[in-house]
Amino acid sequence: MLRYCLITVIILGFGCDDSAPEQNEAAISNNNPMASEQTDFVAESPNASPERERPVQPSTDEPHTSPETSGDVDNADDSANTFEPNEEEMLVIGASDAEPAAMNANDSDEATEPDEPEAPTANPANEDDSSSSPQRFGGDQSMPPPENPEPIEVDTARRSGADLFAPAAPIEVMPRPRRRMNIDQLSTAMSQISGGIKWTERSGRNEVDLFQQLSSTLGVPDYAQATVEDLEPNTVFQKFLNDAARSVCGKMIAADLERHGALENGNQWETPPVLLIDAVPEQTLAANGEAIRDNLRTLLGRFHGRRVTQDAENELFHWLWLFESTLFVTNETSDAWLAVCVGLFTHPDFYLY
Amino acid sequence: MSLDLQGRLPNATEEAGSGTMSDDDPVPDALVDTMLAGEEFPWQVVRHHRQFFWNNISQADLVSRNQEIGNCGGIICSRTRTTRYRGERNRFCADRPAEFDPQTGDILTAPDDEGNEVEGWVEVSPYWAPDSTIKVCAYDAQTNLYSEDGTDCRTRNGTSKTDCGCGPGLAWCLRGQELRAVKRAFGKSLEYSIHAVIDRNESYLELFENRRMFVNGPLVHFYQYQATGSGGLFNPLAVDVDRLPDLDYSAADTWTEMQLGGEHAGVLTHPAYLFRFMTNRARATRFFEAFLCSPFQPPSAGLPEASAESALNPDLQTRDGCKYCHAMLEPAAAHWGRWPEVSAGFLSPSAYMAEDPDCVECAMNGERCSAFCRANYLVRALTPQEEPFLGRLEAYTFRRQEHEHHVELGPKYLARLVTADHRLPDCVSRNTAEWLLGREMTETDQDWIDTLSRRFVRGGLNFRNLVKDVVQSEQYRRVR
Repeated sequence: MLRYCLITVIILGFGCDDSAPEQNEAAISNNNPMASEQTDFVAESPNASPERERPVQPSTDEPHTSPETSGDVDNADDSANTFEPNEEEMLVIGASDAEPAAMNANDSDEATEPDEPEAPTANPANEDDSSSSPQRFGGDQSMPPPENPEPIEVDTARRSGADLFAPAAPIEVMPRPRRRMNIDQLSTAMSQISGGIKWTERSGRNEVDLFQQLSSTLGVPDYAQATVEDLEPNTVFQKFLNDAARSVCGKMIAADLERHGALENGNQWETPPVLLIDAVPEQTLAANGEAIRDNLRTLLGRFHGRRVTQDAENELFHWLWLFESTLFVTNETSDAWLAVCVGLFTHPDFYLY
Repeated sequence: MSLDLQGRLPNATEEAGSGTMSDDDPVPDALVDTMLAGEEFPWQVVRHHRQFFWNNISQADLVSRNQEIGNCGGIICSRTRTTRYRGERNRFCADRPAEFDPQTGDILTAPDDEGNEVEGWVEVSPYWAPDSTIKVCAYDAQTNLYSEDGTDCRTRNGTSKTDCGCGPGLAWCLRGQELRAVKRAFGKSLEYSIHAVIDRNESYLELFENRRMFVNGPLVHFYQYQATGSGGLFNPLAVDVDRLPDLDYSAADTWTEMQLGGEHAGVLTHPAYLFRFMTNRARATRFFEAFLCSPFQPPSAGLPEASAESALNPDLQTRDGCKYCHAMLEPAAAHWGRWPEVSAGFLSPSAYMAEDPDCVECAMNGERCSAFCRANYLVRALTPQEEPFLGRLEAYTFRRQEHEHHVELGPKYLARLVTADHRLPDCVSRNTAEWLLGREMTETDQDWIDTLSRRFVRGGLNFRNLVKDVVQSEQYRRVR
């Protein structure tokens, strides 16, 4: 828009808008982004200056920016009577009459992208009409100027402009696929959840970390023979994850049982429980349903980072079923919790992220 | 995000910091910053970079065979020196205390069960276990610094002298496990170099420009006592031995930073890189693949068949077919021209001129050139195209004038060059996005990668900021 106005000014040698100061003032008071453009334009237009310096007539009527006044403007020139601009549209028109009517005060730079050729009215024939055709050149000559006009600050250094290129289409965001934890992450995560219990095995006099020992089998490259890390949750991975889960869960439940026994006997136990956090070993679903549910919610948060609310019973359904089924088969709550623990470790929500 | 940036699940504090945010919400800025500034993040970056450096040199030979010692029937000896010491392969010393000439101190031999003249053993406190003693064949346990003919027993030549042994406390020799410890240490040392750049929040370019090296006890011992005996494998030594920190061999877990000379180019001249990629072409190829995302590959339709005449062209930069890759690869490989192949040594410009007058003279006159010339300079032209390069450092062979400075400026210059033309930042951005997203980038990601790359460059190649840009992106947050 500005560009057209500027072109008009430069080529035709007249100001775009006699009432620019008033409109700027109004626009600024409305927080109108177009206002600053107007300001720039006025500053940049050498021909506009004398008109701006012209004494302003005191205003005695309604505010000139009212829609009603716009109607008067339309009446002043029938040739431009194609639409009825409202107050904000008037501001736009003030700079150039050729802007699309849809453009409003909230339009951004993108919105000022014009439908190119028809915009500028660089027609010398219009020059004589400039004073009598306010719609065309943005001035409402019939409008009385404000009584005590305030000077408008003009930043001559600022330049605004229109982008010659259409705004880029929004980029389609391709989501990332869930990934399997690498072996280091898996080992650390298991250890974190289990309170420091690792998947180890005694080999001679040493306790061997099986994740390390089996790392090449589990797809960790040695960068001598293999250089690509295999992060597929393939059957080999599933097999060893199952082994690890059984081993770690066995140690977890054993630690909790030992802790429970010590506390029952009135002894102190420093470490917190790792599996039976909100339930005790002898509790069953039938007798202590809420404790079992609470413990499952805690475990789901701990193993899968899933926050299960009190009313989300369906999210517990499978785990309750697993607990009950195992209890039914073995009649041992410790086995039931062991099964739940293994199930939680081998569930994709644990090892995929 | 915690798994990616810290290698673990979030702890209770971090979970509390994330509040009640849903999966689609961006992780709070402060939490991301905390993770990136934590001590675990640099090690995650190190882990990610293993796929670029392949820093496992377990299969490389780092020492001469004569430096290797092992168990010879319950007594420590060198298997490769048996011929020189005892006149026959696999003839070991006898299981009895060694005897010495009381006048001269020479080792005395006596017939063994099979009638062979062999020496006995002596007890030595080895450098790897100075508080204990082991039995070592007397010849192998010799501690002379120089042989009778004046050869330094610590050098490769010295290892082939009968009056040279493994030195005091067997310092110049290694068993299999000490050798493995040194190889592991070199690999780990490279990781510490990466770690330092990320931990100190330096420019990513520092990875290829810094002059530091991290050493532990076994590496200090190796450079002090064993590297010179390896022959060309570490020589001319690229490390100033006087600058080595004072670390005992047993300090395997103590890593200390030391400063190197200006010729070094960070990881690109680290022994682990030089030995993992032993030829200059391999060194350049790995760099192009890993950091420029530009593997040297022939087109899928194959290469045109070379004419008979072209097949004889020794210059791969211009030979039909070969030139498809080598026109670019040869000048790139020249950046390692002063880093000899199958070696971690450095040919300094002061000791190894680009063109040596003596080598030119012997090469042009057809005289037998010195070992120095033969080892480092082109002294024999097999084709007329090689003749202009006679007497020049081997790296200059077939180098065009516009590429000669590659040899002198080294890999550091290559890294700067590809940073300036944005190939390195582009590829690093791509690699980082692929690492964190767990998928390959496609054409639809290109604009995003370009944006990441621009921000990476504008931010002074700050890797943490690059990672932050990725993990805060819509692409990372959306999981299917």
